[in-house]
Amino acid sequence: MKPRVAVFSFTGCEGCSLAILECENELLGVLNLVDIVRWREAMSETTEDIDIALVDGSISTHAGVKRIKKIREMSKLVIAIGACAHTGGLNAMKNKYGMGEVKEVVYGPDGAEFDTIPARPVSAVVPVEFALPGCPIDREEFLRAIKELCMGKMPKLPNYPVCVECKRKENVCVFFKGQFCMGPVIRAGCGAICPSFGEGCEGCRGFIDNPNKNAHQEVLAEFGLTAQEVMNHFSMFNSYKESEV
Amino acid sequence: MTLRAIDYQAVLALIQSLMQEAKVVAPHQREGERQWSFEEVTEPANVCLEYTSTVLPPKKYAFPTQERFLRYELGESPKAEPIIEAEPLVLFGVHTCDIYALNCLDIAMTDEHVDPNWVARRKQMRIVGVDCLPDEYCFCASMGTATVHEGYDLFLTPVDGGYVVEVATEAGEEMLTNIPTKEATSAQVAQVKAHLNKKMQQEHKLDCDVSTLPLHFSGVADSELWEQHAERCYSCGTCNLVCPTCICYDVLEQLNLALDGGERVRVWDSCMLEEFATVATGENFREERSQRLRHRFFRKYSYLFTRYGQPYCCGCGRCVRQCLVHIDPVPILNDVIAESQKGATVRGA
Repeated sequence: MKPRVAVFSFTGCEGCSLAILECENELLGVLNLVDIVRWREAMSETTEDIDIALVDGSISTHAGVKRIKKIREMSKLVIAIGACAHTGGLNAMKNKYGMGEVKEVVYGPDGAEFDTIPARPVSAVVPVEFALPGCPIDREEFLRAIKELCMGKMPKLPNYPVCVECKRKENVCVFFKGQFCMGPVIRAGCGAICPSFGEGCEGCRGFIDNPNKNAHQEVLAEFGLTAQEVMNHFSMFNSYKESEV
Repeated sequence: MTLRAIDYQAVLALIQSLMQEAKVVAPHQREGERQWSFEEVTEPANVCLEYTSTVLPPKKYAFPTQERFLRYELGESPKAEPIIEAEPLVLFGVHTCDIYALNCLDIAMTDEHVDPNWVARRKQMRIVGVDCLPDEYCFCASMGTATVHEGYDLFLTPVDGGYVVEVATEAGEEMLTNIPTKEATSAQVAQVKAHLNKKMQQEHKLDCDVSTLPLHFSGVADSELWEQHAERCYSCGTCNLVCPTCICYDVLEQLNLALDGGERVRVWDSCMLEEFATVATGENFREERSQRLRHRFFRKYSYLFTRYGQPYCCGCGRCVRQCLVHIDPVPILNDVIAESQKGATVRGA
């Protein structure tokens, strides 16, 4: 019996679901391993009999809270995919403001109509078996995770920073090119894609287990960032804090 | 030892002629201040022989950063075959520190277990060394690696108007067939000596003779110096990953999507990474950054030094050059030396 897989989207650009569709050369291979049974971006059929729910997006509405709880009930495994589902992502930047203020800024006077609450990662609302990080997810990592789940193994993420992948690719450190990077404290697994294309890491995959944040604050300051700019770098993808919600 | 003289045009001709028979790799300028890397030569004029250090050492050509080494099929009758991919290669423009490191790894990679992939690549490798002048991170003079006596076919030392070439092997002699060279003049030979004298002038140096280095490690395992130096460490592994003498790798299984076969791959690993010493049951023997930093130093300057009779550090300075928080082996080693001297006084009292 192939595992029955469904894909669900919450607050976000839905780009991580799209990233699955973009595994063009491997999609048929994936379909040999799993049955895709529900996915609004790719099919019209629906079901509530689900083995693995892949969930992208953060939970940022009351309706979303209800829906993710329902998904949890009908699925054997819930896997968060992408930064929004994994860490709250960019969406959590709004959490430091009042929700009234946020609605006013984004939608103007009509904003009051909207149902919005502070954005949370999926794991803050329901238990999650595994989270696949990134904005968007890395295709190779996604395919590896699917293979491992089908073999009955829980996938494992690297617990080392992006610097490792930059060195393996012999990238010149972006700091030495006058740019800034969160790579030394951020979890690898993306193949250091941003530094490889000449941009500093923004931290979309979240921190490694034990990041040396003090050292990184000092390094960013040493390379010329102000305290506020340092905070901006730290908080772009990683501003969600349980205590603020 | 034969010494010849060669001018710049002839060096370009030499690279061009080597390119006719093999892949030639040499230092090239990269974006960013003082950054170079070894890359395949497509145009000899783009080769940069005046450089201080490349991001990765030329070790990557004998031991790639990522390498498939076993292909297998699963199922009813499982099969496996080794993958050894090697090709003739010329490393052009290698510094003495990196030649020393390759020689070190020849010993380590063929010690108890012979690494067939390493051996196959090294067999097909010819090396043209080039001498350099140190930057503020180099400490080859202290490590005894400012000169090497084997591990290359030709060695170039810059002199006025070109290079003096030391022809070290028959393969080196063959490389120079059809390349215009002259006998090195006594003035040029004097310039070679002067160059070495200049190279040896290094501020960045050890407070002891390198041969005594392992002795200083006997009493410092519990010193606070490891915690002090590790406080700002990211544990990002950069120091190991750019190191010419590091050989640790991780092994990964890459199954195909049908889950009926795949490849086994090795990738460069680092003992500074948090999970390096984590075992199957979850215990981590080196959980703290300071323990990992200490291990790295013991391994390079004590364990392997004692086992093989030479330091597994070539003084190239890549680890500190690439470290964003400036963790420098020289002051750490000097702290080790100072601490062991202190201990000696106490024990002697």
